[in-house]
Amino acid sequence: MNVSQEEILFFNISGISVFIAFWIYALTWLNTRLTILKKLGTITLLISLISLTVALVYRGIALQFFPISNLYESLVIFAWAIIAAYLFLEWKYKIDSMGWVVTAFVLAVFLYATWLPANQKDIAPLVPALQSYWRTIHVPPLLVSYALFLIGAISSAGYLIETTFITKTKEEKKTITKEVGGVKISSTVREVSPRATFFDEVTYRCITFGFPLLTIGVINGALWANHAWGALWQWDPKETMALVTWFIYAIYLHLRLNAKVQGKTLALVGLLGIAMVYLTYLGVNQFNFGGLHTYGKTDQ
Amino acid sequence: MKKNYLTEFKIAFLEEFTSLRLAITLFAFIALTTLIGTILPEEPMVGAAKLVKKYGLDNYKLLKSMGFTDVFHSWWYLGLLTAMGLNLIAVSVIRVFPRAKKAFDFPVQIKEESIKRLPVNCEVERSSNLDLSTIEKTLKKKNYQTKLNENKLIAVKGAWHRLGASVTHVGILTVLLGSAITVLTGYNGMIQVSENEGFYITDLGQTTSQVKSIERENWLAPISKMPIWFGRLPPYLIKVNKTWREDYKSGQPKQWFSDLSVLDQNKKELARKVIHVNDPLEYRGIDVYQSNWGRFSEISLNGQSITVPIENFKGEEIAVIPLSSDIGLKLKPNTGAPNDILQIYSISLGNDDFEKLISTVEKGKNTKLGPINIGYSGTQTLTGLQFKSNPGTLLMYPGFIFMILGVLIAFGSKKRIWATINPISNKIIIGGSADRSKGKFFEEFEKIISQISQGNN
Repeated sequence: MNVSQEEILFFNISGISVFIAFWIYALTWLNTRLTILKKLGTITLLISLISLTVALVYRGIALQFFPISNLYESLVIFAWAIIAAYLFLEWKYKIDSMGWVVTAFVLAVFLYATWLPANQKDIAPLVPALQSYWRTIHVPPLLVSYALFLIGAISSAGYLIETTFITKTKEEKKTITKEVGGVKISSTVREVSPRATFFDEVTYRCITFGFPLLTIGVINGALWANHAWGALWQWDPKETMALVTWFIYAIYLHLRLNAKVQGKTLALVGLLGIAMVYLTYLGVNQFNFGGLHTYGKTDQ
Repeated sequence: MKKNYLTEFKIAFLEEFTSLRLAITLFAFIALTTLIGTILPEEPMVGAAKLVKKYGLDNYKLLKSMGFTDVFHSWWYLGLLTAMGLNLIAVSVIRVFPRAKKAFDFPVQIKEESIKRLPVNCEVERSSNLDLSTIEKTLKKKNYQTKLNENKLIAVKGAWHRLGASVTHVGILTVLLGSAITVLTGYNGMIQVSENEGFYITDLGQTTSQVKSIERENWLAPISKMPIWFGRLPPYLIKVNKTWREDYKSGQPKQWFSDLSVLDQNKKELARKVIHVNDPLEYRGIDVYQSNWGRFSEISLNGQSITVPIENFKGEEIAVIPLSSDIGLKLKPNTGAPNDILQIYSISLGNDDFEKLISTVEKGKNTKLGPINIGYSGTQTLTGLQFKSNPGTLLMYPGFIFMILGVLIAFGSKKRIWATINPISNKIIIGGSADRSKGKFFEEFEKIISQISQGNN
């Protein structure tokens, strides 16, 4: 089956919008006074999200099911999740200074999806094992959690760059004072600079949003496996890799409870986490770990 | 003296065994070993032969003795999991659950110096329109629970978030218990049957292949048992009334179906369901799954009977038997005709276009093709069914629900705010703390203070 013209059109609009948004965010990052541009960046990214949604709806109509059955569709939904997660975090926590890095990653995902061989992009019917409503409640929470972990990892990298190269002071507990409405509020923080505090907080928030989604996704996967394969857990590479990822983020959250842990350690765990996410999401098939989750490949 | 020493040791041991440090260390080790197990090919998945080929026999033996050929069933991996399980139980009982019990306790009063040492704190000038009661009002609007007496104010919000860890831990413990029950006490098995046949789940000891029952149309399906076996098997006959497949227009399989009945000893129907992949039959502790599906022709070559799978090849339902490197036989069963017949074509293996019908055999007859004598005993559809008892599932589902609920509850944090009046300087000292997401709490604190001080101006 061929991909419809409308889908291609909206997919392209989405890609071009991300590309424009990347440059706008990059400019606002270089010159923070360009507040109007910042709004324009958000609007462009929002247009991208909407047209990507429309493209997915067209594909869904052509397939007559929720379009998540091969690597291409999964990547497009992953890109969708990154944009959506970013826009949410930007609205909630003002993370626009990270916009250009995030949009660069979205572009990379788009390019990777576009460059996939044609037989992996075609609208293909579902194999019996994937004919289930579980597909739609197992995969999307995982993709959204990966998107959040990606933004968290970008922020972790920001933290490490900030603390190693920019403000090279040692990490310690400090009291900072801030004046709000004529009142001096002192707060105890352990980071080296306000920017480091910001990065640390963003990573933490991404992981606190992502971890429940990862947990839900893995559990739904186990329940689906029980329905389809007759066992909740089969030590399949995708399953075990997801377990590794789950443990890494569990380590992050438990380390965070312990106030003595340095921010750098946490940032490193955040980066380790995204490496594990990469292995879980793409690596299992790319490096031929084998197993049951090989639906993304069509060369069988 | 000796007793004291022992108690001290016990306390120190428990302290260490329930420490966050040990939990994190175990997490890291499990993550690392699981990663190794993922990267290395596992014997249960790829088979021993492939591993011997990859590593060489000597290395294979060495790796096998250390458990690296099957990491997830090696003694050290199971040891790590057991250690984590014990640590989880100990931590839950000694640290986590007691905290949940105290989650809703109202915070105690603290002194002015302690308020000044809180992670976030400030001082505001007391005036006619800024007093503890006005602060209380602002906090109440923000959904804080408050307690005000004379010159001290305590406020708290989100105490229930402290239950998050407990609920998650209860969930994980329940899931672990459930999976232990399943792994230790359940059974499972597989069987292939055709339409109008059925099977009994039976304990055939070491036998792993299905055998005919005394009833001509039924089978005995052997089980593989888990280590602790209670010896209870369901007495039902599971009968396949019908089995079929649905294809896409392109000929690829879309779905396989089996219409199953559960019959009691008197052949009375207890349950009936059409199952397909992803939709099993669940009846009183046994689950029956559609696992695979296929058509098979029973033929004989020079008296030796073989079963050949009939597969969809370029839109035709056929089996190909290669005779040499370039010539082969194409077998095409035709069950739709008044008689069940098998058409035999000779084909050239390199050239798709060349084929010639050389013979047709009726079911139960033979044909001679040069030196080969081909017999045909019919084509039948076999549905591959998997069955299992899963006694732990009852615990799994609530366990999963608790895990998900727990991580969602743990999303927020318990926030506490104290305020007190210093009568000498006539100032109000306000401070607060939060369990988690401190940055977010600091922002909230700033907002509260700015609202209070605006009211003052």
